[in-house]
Amino acid sequence: MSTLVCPGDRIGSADVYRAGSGTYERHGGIFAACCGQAQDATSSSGERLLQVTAPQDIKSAIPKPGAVVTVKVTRVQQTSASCKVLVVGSTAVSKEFSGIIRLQDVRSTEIDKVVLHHCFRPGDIVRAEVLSLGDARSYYLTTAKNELGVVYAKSSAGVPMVAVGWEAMQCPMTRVLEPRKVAATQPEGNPSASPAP
Amino acid sequence: MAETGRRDGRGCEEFRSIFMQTGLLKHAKGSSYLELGATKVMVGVFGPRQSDRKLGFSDSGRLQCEVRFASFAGGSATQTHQSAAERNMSAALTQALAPSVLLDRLPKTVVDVYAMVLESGGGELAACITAASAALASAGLELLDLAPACQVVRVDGQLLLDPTLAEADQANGSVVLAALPATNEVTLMSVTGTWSA
Repeated sequence: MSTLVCPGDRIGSADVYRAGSGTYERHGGIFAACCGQAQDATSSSGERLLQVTAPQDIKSAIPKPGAVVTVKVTRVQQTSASCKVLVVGSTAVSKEFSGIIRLQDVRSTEIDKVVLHHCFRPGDIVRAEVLSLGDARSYYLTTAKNELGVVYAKSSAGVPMVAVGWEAMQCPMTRVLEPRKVAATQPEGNPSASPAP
Repeated sequence: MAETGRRDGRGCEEFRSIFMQTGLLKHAKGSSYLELGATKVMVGVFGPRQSDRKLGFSDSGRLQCEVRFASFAGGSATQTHQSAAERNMSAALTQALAPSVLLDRLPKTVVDVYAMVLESGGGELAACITAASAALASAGLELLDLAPACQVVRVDGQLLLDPTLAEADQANGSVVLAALPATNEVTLMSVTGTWSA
């Protein structure tokens, strides 16, 4: 079943279906919340879901807790690194959101020995995960996982660096090693690669 | 059919012809253009973007609406009274639209709605509300329902639906009503003038 619906259209009964993405439940019925195609789907727990998928190019992207985001570091201080959220998942945001990576959220181990200046530098592109909505100013982000951390950084010479292990990156031109908390981008099914703490 | 005396020959409960199109503005997330008789309205929707710091933390999103008259819009709102009319209409537009948007799915964000009346031909507020609702839907935002609106005026004891500029000028009283059709909920009822038994 795939029909074109508008917000407010009743697309099913709450007795038969659960409200999926792009829908809401009210007065025992499932209603469409956006314009798009209404589809029958099965959730991971086996329930029948009704969801409405909007066309890809108008999807809104806002950071939600648990989402993986790509950010650009703007300021590195003693206890936190401020950054601008550019991409949520795989959708670019229309206007940047502010995020902050606190000292205790950089790594999962030895968090009292973290020196922020050796993990991030202004201008680095970092993959992080949204911890929470944070305060009025910024979202709280974390890089305390193997696959989170710096994905792209330029050396002091202005050349994009190559990752060397999980703690450093090297400039291909000057051969200088610069400390960073590097995101592990191992190919799938590679057990020999040593995991970062 | 009884002689209604309306200049354009319409019945008392007859709308003027409508033209509406969405997705015209390149930079806006969602947009719409509405023509209701001679009234021409254009709306652009931006966001959701991060709330300003000074507004404080909010679990649910906010809607910020602004109505402006183009300098060439003409009509009874002369240049000097335009800003007061614009402020009142902006507040009314926010009141009419806010209940229709699922704002608790957009924490800590603001959605901007900018409406511009290109030509005044009567029923500008109702046209702005209807057009803005379509623009919100075209922006892919999750809505409870679309919020169409209409205006009724009382001229010499007769109730006229969808007044022209001349009819609105002669009116003793006017009502602008915005409602959510799916659940019959009224979001805005703006009554002005003299309404007596």
